[in-house]
Amino acid sequence: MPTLPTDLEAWVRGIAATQDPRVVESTPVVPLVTRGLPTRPLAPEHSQVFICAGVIVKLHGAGTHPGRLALRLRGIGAPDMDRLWIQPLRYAAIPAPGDRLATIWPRVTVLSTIDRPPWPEIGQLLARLHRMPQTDELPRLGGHSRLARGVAYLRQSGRGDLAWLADLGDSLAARLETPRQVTLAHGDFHLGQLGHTPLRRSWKLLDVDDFGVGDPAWDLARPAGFWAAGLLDDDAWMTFLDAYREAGGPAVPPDGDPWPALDLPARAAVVVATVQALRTPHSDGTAEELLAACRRMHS
Amino acid sequence: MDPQRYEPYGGAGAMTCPKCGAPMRTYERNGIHLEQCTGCRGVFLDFGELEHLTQLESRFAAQPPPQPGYGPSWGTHGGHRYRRGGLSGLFFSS
Repeated sequence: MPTLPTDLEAWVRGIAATQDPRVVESTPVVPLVTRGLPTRPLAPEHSQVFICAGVIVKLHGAGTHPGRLALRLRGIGAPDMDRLWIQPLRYAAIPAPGDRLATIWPRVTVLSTIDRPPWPEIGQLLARLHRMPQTDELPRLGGHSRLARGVAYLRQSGRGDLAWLADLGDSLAARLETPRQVTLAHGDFHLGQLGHTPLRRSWKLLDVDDFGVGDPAWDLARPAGFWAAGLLDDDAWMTFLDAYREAGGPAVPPDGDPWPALDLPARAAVVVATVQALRTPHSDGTAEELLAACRRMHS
Repeated sequence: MDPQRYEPYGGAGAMTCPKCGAPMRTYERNGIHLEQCTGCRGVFLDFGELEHLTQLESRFAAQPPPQPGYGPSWGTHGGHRYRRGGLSGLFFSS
């Protein structure tokens, strides 16, 4: 377990106490462990999530734009959007130690890596989000920045043998500048972005950091790319895609080949996931499969 | 790609092109030997080689077209089962 600076722990507990009367001085503050890495340092460039009793306190990454975060929080609270997103306990970010911003959320049940993912529900949920009326005040989706950050990491890493991967990322970024269409979308959708409250069993979306307007195909890109890379089986992929189409999801045409719409975002998702897998190697061969897919794109 | 080139006859024994008179060279492509003129690029097929080519062509045409949705050129085109832990990368922000 990473050691938490005492003042940060006390601050998180104080925030949690304003929302949950069960919080006392001895209530533990637990950093959410991601990627199975208990020793992940508290890096200011990353967001960090803390659990205290029934409250989640999220410290957003150091580069978070306060105005955009405010618009995103307001956006998910709009009528009907609240049925698709887990709602915050406060619709405004608060200043946190270290010049950071924090948001406060209810503790929810998230999908576990050993659960069978509810692919039909996931397809329907994303289709409903993509069909919501657009509001012009929302920022652009965060997918582009994720790709740019991945490329920047590769360039700084000094891995000359991976220069081709950075070049591949750059060329994709240039081609992704012009979206095929624009809707509301999550912006960083993956299986860890689903949660449900104890009362409602339906899955809802988590994490507003990349939410905005952009090509909805970004939200299908991770499953699509993982399927193409051989990491997701045919049944799961087709169940998800069929449910999305049946619910009127606009990211792909209602029938026929979906790949003209999915190809570029799926490539980007695989490149980004590859960089991440190289940074924190999984022992299960995921990084190798992803890298092999990137090589095939490059050849 | 350049065809693999070999010259079993070579030198004085090589064929000459019936059309332009230039020497012909022997190539192998997809298991078929053919003589090509170094001058006019005309091709000479031995007995049975045209039939062999036709067979190759029909075998190629008989391959089922890819299923719609069957993925991009860089993909593995389906047929995969979940690998143990293979979904782990689908759970985290990158």
